[in-house]
Amino acid sequence: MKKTVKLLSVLLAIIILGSVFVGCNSSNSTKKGNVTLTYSFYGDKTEIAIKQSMIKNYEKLNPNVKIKPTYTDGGTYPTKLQTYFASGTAPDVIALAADMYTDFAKKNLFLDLTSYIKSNGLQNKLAKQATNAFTLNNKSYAIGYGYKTYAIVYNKKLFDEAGIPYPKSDWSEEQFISYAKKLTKGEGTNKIYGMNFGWEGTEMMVNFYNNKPAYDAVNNKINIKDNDVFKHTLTLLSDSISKYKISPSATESKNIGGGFETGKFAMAIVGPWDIDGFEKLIGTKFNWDIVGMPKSADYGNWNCGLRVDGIAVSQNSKYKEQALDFAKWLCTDENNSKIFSQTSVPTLNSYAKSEEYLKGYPKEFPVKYNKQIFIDMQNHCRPIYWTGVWGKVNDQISKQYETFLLGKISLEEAINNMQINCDKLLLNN
Amino acid sequence: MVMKIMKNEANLRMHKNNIKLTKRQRMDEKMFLTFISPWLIGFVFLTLGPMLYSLYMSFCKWDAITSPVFIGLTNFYKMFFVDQKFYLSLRNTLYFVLFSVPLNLVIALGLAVLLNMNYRGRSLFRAAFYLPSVIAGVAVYIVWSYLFNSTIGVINYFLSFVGIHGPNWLTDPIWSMPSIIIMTTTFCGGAMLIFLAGLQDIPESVIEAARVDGASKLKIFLKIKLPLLSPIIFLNLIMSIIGSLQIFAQPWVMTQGGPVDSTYVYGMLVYDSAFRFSEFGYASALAWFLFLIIMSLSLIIIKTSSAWVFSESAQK
Repeated sequence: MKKTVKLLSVLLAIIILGSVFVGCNSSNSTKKGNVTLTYSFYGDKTEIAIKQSMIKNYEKLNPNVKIKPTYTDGGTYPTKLQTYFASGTAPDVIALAADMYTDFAKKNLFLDLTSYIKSNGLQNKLAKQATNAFTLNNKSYAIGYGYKTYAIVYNKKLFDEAGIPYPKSDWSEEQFISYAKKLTKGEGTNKIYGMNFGWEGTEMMVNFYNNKPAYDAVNNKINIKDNDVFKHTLTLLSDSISKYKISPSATESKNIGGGFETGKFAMAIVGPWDIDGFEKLIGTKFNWDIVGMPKSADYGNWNCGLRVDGIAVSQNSKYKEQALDFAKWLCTDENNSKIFSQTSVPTLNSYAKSEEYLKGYPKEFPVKYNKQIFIDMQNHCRPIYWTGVWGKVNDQISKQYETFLLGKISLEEAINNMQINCDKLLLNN
Repeated sequence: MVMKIMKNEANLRMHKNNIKLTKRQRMDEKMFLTFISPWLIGFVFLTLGPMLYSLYMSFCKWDAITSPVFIGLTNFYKMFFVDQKFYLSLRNTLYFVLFSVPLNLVIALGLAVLLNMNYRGRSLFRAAFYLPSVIAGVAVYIVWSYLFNSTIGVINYFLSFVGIHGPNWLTDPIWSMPSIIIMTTTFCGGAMLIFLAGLQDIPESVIEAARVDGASKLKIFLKIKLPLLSPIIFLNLIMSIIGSLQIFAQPWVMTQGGPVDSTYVYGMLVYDSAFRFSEFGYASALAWFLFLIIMSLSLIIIKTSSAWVFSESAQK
């Protein structure tokens, strides 16, 4: 009996100990010519489903290749990548966004794809952002499959009720303010705002007109003080809230029950990732469309950040050839472009310029919005910086701006504080 | 002679018993080590090891991609003399601790006293008050975000019945932290249960004796129950302070540190330093400083506990 108890105890301890190590083993081992590639990517629910369907398609076309996916949402993806590289378990194929890849690329963690892109003629097959966005020091580290710009979505029903013509692509900043004022109506829970700048507006703030940006991330310089363009941007955004009252502040908007899709805003800044949600949530409640950003007579077009999604191959991948083939297929297969176009503008030129893309919509989409707008906005885009010290700089600018909106400091004080504090951040970096 | 033999036999038996005890003790020790080894191995490799590594990291510059570079006390210098958000986050965190800890303890004790009374359905009430403590935190925080909404939230709606125009709870820098403090009272169920157990442990004879002597209910509570509960209060106080100093999820979900950094707590600074700004060395230094704060506060409370915590052994 005692021996049995002793044996059972030891067995139990081994099982418990063993369970600690289960699941720690991961490998992409080969089995007689079969290859298992690990592929990491990010996205919301729709994007994840899209990418998983592509994996299945590739596996059908290449039976000797198995793709092992791992994914997370976009917000935590950079952290996940850091963990992979820190632990030496980087996947073979890595999805990337152009606004978060530079720190990794500088450390030679991705394969240099410059010669691969040239030898496969990808620079001609794909839009220029597909490779330019991932080029650092004349080396290309990823191939882009889709890009995202912003546009302004407008509620046609509210425009009709206000008797305002729909905005056109060459509309001016003055027209925008005039329309937004006429569209703002009601009080309390029934209030409808003319415009929702949202977090996109705050992001655009640092380089609103792609002309004299608040900071130069390439040359590590802060250009806030004595920057009349940046001052005009802050004045425009704050006047929208306090003077024209066409827009709530970023914090006030949290108190509003709903967004553009619930009819609380006549206009809003949107990206391609919003479209699927709008089509499903709005349905046939009201008609809407998108238009490009307005233009200021003095400062030029409103600009937005350019987001490019691409595919890179890990420098330490054991199956570089297969990984490159999968990466190329993801970016150049026309069927994939069709699938990616649900959440971004495809970089594959042949598809992006086709009638099928520009006029094609899923059957369940009641609204046939103008897709050309997102493509045209390429001409009014610029890179976004939010990692490392630029994340702190963006935070500092937002905080001073928020303090100014609350009336605690004047605009001049806010600008002064931004310059001083951001200079300190760069100095201490 | 017979006595001698009996004595020898007794000695032999005792000697045999001693040998048996020693063997059993040895076996017990082996069993103990066998069963504790999974936890011990896990603790060493998954807790102690990473803790010691992070202590080393706090003296390094590390972006989690390249190798760490030893920089001595630079991270600590940055913390005290350079980082604009260090004192802000510490102030916000201490503000939270100063108000949420006593508030939660008082509410938990009050609930425990009420739930200790004899009435029908008290088990249901006990379960109801404890339930929020077991629900996933993020879900509760999101619900409270809607409750606090100044336009469509239920709290301001009920306040309007008594003629009060509710504030912008989460979007006003003055009310944002008090909103989070109020929200955390949802989770006082755990402390409440411990207080309840303590109250039930108080001997009835002591209460009876006090009643016979003519003590009122209030006097019984203040002079008898509260002192006898002091060890439980001591335990809950320390646990509450430790938990509150590490606050992160509530402001992260409800206010993202705003408005105007009014709810930007120390935990968020550690998170941002590591995962947004890739300064893992600095984040480690921040984490170890927080550990020192927690350790110091706990030691102060322990040292002063002899003055206010009732102890039976001390009485003897």
